[in-house]
Amino acid sequence: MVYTHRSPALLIIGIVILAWGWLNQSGTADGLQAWLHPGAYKEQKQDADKHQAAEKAAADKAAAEGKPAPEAKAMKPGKFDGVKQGQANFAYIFGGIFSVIGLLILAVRPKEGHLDYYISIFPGMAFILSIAFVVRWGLDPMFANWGKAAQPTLGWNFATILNLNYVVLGIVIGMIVVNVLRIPAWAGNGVRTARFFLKTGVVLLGTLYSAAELAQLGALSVVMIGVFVLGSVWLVLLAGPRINATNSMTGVLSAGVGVCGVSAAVAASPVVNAKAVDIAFTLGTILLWGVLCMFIFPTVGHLLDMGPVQFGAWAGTGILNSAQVAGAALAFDPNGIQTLKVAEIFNITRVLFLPLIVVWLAAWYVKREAGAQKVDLGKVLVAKFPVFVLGFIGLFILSSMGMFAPAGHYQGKYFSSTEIKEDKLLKEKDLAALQAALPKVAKPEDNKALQDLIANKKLDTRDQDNLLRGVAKMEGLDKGAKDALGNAHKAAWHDSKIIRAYRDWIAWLFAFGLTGLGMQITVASIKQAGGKPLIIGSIVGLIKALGSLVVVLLFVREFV
Amino acid sequence: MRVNGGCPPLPRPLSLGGRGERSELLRNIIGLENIMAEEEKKFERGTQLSIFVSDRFEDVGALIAACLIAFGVLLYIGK
Repeated sequence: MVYTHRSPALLIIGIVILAWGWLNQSGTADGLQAWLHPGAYKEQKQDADKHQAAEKAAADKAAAEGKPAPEAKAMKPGKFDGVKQGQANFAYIFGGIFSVIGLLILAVRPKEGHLDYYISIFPGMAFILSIAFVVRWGLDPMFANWGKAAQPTLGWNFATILNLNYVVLGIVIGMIVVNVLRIPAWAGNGVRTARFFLKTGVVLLGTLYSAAELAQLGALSVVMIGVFVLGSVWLVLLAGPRINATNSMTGVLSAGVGVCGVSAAVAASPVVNAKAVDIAFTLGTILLWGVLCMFIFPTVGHLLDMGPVQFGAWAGTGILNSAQVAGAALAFDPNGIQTLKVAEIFNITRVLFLPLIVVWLAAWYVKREAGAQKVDLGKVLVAKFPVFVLGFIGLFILSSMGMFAPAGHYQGKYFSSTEIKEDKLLKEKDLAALQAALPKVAKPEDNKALQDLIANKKLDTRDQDNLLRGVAKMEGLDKGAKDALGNAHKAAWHDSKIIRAYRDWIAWLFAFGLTGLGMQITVASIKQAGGKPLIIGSIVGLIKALGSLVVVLLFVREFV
Repeated sequence: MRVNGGCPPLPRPLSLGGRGERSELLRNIIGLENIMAEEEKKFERGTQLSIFVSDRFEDVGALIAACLIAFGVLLYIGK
């Protein structure tokens, strides 16, 4: 059988991608890019103005002194230039590869064999990748901008809350393509690579987590979250088969409902051999339930007169998706950071349970698929266990050992006092503002932390940073002191370049995989799946929300 | 997965003879088209959802690819 279709499609896609690279490099697309990335554009323009003013001042000074004008220095490339250059490089690499293979397809008549099979994959991959480009480079920043622009009117960022990012948009666009336009025959083989890239992304996800982060969290949050995460997963795994939901659907839903919503559902999907429609239904359930919670939780919190710590703990445990946890915390307490901080701590804790859940689901799925008869779990596991999960665990262990970034990092951010550069130490103006604020800080441990900061001009420990983040949100503190605390916090937290690179890789692998999976979701398959996930998700979500509310009301006031 | 296209429709003969003969020939053509469409759906290599011959192959491939990326980036960027 010959797989390759002699179509000019790959060559055309390659040329279009190359053209996009050129448009970026030549600056022709600057207007569009400035619209998509207004923050980066504004920042770079300000830097350029400053640079120009400095150059002019230097030239004027030289002229006044009768010296020749100094040589103009080139400005360092800014964030906006970085965005354009990144897209241009990407476009040149992939556009070049696709164009060459596209020419080859047209020039050489394909013959049955290995080469034909592998070549036939490229047109479909180019088709998905070109859509993923549109999603990541166009739709994702566009919705982010619209969300921000509508925030003052709506009171909430609809793009963040509804998760209108490349994950959801990729699936939606893929669904539109398959149901409205249909997948062309020449792209069929390439679409079958989507799951492979999704699995690669899941393995790489292991680099973003660190077990050491758990040690930084309070014992109560670990225990409470552990009980609710594992309990929710267990409940879904129990309920799914009882209402005849498929094993794959139940598995994905359990991770989504139990751990942290969208990313957990995506990570668990290849583990349980999930069909594209399973993921789509799970994401729909999580987002629908999450948005409902985001509006209901703050109201209930105020009705029950909950404190910021209590509400943060409840939202961080009971709301299914990370974006909506932050949304609910801010809706409850728009001015204070305490609620958001506690909610985020609880949220981070449950994300850290993901490796455990992945292994649990792999074992559960293998056993379920083996049938009702008594099976030797050991043998079945060896034969059927999804091997890529071992890669995920392996990279997670290496990451926890500090192989890729300092062991205490969380998704690439880490605290380090020793790496604070000289120019980032607090200035005299900051120190004076903090000194003036000292009498207003009543709590002895907060006061001590502030005194240490003034003495050392920088933060020394993470505990000190945590205490002073609370102080920064204290009412009555003047702006100068708040800014100084903000500067000290920023200086002590560092971005790991390597983790940023991994995140970028993962984002592309997921964008590609999910767009391809979206192309496998037809209206017929949605009808076939029915509304079971919504029923299970809603029941377990409700149990989780009510259960965590009771636990928070009973225990959190005393222990946190 | 829904893949449009597959085999192109067979060209219809201009003259199909008598009435009975024509309907039998049409049935044969439609039957042949169905068989060819079925064949097109089956992948001689890989599975319906994967270009790999089995899930285990796909898993190992993903593991290798991810490790190459992880250590490649580590070498290129450094810790």
